[in-house]
Amino acid sequence: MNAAATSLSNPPIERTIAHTLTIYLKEAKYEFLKNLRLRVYTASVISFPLMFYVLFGLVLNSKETIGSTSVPTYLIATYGTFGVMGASLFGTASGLAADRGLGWLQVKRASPMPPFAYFVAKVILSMIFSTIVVTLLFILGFTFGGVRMPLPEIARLLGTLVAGSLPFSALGLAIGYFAGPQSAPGVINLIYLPMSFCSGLWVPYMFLPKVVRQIALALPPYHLSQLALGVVGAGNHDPAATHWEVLLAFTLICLGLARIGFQRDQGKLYG
Amino acid sequence: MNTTSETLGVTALLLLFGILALYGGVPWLAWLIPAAIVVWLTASARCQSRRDIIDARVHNRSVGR
Repeated sequence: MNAAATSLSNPPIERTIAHTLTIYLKEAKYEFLKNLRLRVYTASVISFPLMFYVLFGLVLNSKETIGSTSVPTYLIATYGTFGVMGASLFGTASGLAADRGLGWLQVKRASPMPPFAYFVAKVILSMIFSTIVVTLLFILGFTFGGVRMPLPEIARLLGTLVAGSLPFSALGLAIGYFAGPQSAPGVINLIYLPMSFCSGLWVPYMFLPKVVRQIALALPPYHLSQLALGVVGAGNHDPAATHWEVLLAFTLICLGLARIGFQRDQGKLYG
Repeated sequence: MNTTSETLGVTALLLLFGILALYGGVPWLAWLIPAAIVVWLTASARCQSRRDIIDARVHNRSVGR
């Protein structure tokens, strides 16, 4: 009886660090390839911020300035934030909700893959797509908008925006655990679009109505955009630490909610 | 205590709660989520008060003209 119980129990799998790392990298690679082949995801996530940037930053206001910063430079920071948000939310929430709905998570659970690898792959995917969006914005700005920035500033702006994909990936995980596969895109749009507008990503913060400006101060995209604008010298001069504090708190709240959703699913499946 | 050391303290506390929630499980979320909400609201309120001060200065300057 004891021998049977031992053979049926679930012994912990012993792996070397290199082996574990390989699993994480492979999961991230195939998650990336899966999303790259989803034309709707790739086209919408990449083309929306670029389209807005071309229209408002290059065609309509390329010679204007906001404060002492040219509009094409200013809008790289704000549409960069917009692009990062979209890549992270759609990459994590839609994928997770669909995988839950199709039962794909149960198949993954039955494999010897560490459960954490799935979530890490989603976050890495968001970061890769965020990097692509911001890089394309830079290319457009440099080529057609007359944007000039020293290399360290470009690296800082890219690093800030890509690091800023973490809070939105966490929000995506929370949405993915509580929304169904059909309703997830709707829920994302319901959060993503108003949040972007109210945070001053479409219309610069100082041109927003007073009520919206007050709401913006509580929204994570506002804080990420202020960090990005701070790099190009167009921020509101609040301490960067305060913005990071908001983003960290928001990330942990979303991860906490995602954990509750995860436990709820586990409870439903395995009792 | 200045803003930077206050922020560092709060960040360390939040990260500690995060790690405890990761390894300790759901009961720690009862500490993590309210603490993170308080930090979020406090930091937003700090930004709001700075904005109010700046707006008041701009208003006084425009009235002075």
